[in-house]
Amino acid sequence: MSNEASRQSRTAKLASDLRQFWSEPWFAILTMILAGAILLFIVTPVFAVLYKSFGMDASGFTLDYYREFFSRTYYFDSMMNSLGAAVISTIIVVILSVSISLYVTRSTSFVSRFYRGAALLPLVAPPFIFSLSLIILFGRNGIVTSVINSTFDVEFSIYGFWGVVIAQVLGYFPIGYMLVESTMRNMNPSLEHASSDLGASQWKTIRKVTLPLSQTGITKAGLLVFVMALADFSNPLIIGGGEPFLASEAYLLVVGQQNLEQAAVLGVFLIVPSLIIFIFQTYILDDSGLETISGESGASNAPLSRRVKTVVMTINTLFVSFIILMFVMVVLGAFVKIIGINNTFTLEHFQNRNGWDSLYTSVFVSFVAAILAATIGMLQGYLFARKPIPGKKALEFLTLFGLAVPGTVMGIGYVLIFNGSPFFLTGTVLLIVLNMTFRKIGVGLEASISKMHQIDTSMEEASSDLGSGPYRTFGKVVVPLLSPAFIAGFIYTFMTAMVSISSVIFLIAPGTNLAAVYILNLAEQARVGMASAMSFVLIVIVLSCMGLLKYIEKKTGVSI
Amino acid sequence: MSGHENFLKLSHLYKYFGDVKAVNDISIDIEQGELISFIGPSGCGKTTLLRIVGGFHKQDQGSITLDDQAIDQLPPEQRPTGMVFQNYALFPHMTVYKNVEYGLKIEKVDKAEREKRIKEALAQVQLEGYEERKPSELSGGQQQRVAIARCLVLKPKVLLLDEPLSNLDANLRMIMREEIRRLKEELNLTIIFVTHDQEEALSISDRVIVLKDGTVQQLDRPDNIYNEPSNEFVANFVGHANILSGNLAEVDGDTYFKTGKFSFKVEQPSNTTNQDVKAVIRPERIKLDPEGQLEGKIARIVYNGNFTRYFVDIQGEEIMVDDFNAHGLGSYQRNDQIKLSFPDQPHYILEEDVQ
Repeated sequence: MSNEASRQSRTAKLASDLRQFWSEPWFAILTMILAGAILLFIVTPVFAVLYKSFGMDASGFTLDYYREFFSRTYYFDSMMNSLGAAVISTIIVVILSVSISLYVTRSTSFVSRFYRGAALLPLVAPPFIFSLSLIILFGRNGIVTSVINSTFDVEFSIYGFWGVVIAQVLGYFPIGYMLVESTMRNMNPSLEHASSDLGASQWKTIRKVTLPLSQTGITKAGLLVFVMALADFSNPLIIGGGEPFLASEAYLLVVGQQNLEQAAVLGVFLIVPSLIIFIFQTYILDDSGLETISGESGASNAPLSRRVKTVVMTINTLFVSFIILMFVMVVLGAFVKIIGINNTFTLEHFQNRNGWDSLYTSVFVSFVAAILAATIGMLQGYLFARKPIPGKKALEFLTLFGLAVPGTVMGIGYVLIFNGSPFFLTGTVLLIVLNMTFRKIGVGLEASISKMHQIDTSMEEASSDLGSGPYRTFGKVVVPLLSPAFIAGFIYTFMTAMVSISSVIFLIAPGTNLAAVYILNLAEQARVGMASAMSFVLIVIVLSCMGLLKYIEKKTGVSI
Repeated sequence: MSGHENFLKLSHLYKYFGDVKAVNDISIDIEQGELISFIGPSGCGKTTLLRIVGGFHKQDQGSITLDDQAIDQLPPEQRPTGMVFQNYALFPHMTVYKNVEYGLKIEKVDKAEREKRIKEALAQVQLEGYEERKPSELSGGQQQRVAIARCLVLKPKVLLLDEPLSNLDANLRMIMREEIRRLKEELNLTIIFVTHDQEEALSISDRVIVLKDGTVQQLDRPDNIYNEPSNEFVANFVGHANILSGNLAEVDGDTYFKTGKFSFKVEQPSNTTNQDVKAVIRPERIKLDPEGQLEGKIARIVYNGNFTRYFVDIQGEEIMVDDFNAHGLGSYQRNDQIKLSFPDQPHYILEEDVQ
């Protein structure tokens, strides 16, 4: 009987939710369009890959392509390489992140800020920039390589598995670092003070208090880095030296052999770990109990003791110098004839018509995608935070899932869906924009939802009390208050779109080449000078966009 | 001055949240130009009731009429009510001027008229010269004034204030009480004032409604609420009270109120012939009096500045007695034996206490 009653009350609630949902018809229609777009541009491509991997639509259901995967050591190796490299880079990134965070969260000195800036620098560069500089230094004709080889009489070069690992550590470090740092920053300093007050040394405090309390943040950072490294596409292509990796191999299967089915199987092995980790993060990893900061505490963490500092700073300095060295190499590579061989200054690498065209396309496409993603994220964030939308949990999950799907899988999925009827969108700029937009709307959504939770509903109630209808309230009150979330979504999407490759590489056509893809091609052909020059310009563009936004932030007082 | 009797009429309102009856059959008639307070402990339904009047919650049953118009089906934007929110809900991205202008623009009032009315409203709350400030550049009290001006400028028929003074410090609270009272008199405003502070309600209101568990416990003038609480809950919620259970007995032609432990002489009450009653005696009504008829021992002393509260043990029963400190410090020590005189007309609670 109570079951019956609870079912009735559920039905009644759903009915009243639906009534309320339709009471603002424009919002209802927008929500439905959004839901449709999320299904079409995020969910369907993934299912298309799964579908294709079973050979459906060509030959009917078959497991042949999976059999092929496990029987050919080459494909199987690609999985082992991808997993192995991802595990190793994740472990290294986590250790380095903890080391730098320990220092940066306890000091406001210039050195600390410099380390933080340098640690975040890789964010503005294409993910393969480190492959490029590694080749300049340690490639077959690298500056360091020639010294080593002539000294020790060996045939050393960076190409191969370990080259990929090093490039991944450098490229994905900022993502892990940001999460670890913010966890440590949000920790209440009194806990550490209490530990030392009770007689623990700083080592002991770090091991027994700081690290256990940062555990969730560190786990999150590690999982995120792992997912990104697993899906890494460009580093294996440039510096992998022919070693197979899942994402690059899937790409070669599509482009070289038109073997979409086999590529889809590789895609499935890419997506399964990502999906598991995504679900684990969303539903199982719970950090609510470890939110230790409460209210305002004037205290700050004690500075590191000499003993701890020596260890931490040695690691930090080595790593940060290495990052900077990598960037210096690219800049030098851009401005000299042939780095290491003919070091005369030149601007010839910048005289590259195709390069500038691709840069223009990239800026245009990324800008449009960023505007779209930020707008959709803001709208969706408002609707999800305030309106009774049936099935909104599922939609939110799917939106965020878009962030977790490896780019290669999404790219193959887009090819499968939008190549033929009824869309025929392959090769169009529109499809590239849609791809970039929908892969990233999760960020704008998250930012907007969390911002909405900070805005008291009384703000909207006041507006309606003063006579304003729901749409006007949205435009006049909610949108201005959500502008920080809009800007956050915009910056993130723009920066990542400018340097993204793995997904859009499947969608470009002659005339719609993108800068990152173009640089990748140059790097693959070891045309270091031109690749460096274009990378340099790309970095300058991304950096100046960020500078511009910081300026706007200062001017308007809108915090980003 | 006073307008018509049933200006705002709430009839048999109900509101459920799941199984909780937040508002349970409440009917109130509010006069034009009246300031009426809703008080009660948290969860009593006072804010829910206010939000139903403003249109932010929809009642499950019942009706509301304002100036003879039914308003209970209208969304908030169409109700002639103005709400001042607890956190003021000023739009942080707009200046004071823009905040006040917001509702006028929606009403499509022309620019010259807007300017005039904004000026007027800001003058009413004494905020001239603050037009270009952002809310973040104002103090709490100033924000409060803006929130009020933002409502007043639209000339609402009823002003709804949701714990408006709870975020202000004690001194400012006093000043704003006076301000609200002044505005109400000047503009003949009808105001509903929600608060959990009983002292605030007593000092500001024409009438007070005490709520508990979604029902009205008492609706009356402040002095009547204090002096003649309708039940034990009201007696305890509004001010402090000694509540003595006992009965009235006739001895030699005199009437005595007898508790189980002691008794004192009272006048024959006109409103009861009940034998078993509860007597509500406010602590300031009991006098420390060398001629007093009851003797007790001081168990505890709490010094409060303008008065001292003594907890006096009379035959094992503890009684609160407040003594006004007209001459500085209170003059008694702990364990002193003292005499007390009780008022001869205590307030008797007749009905069974609703627990």
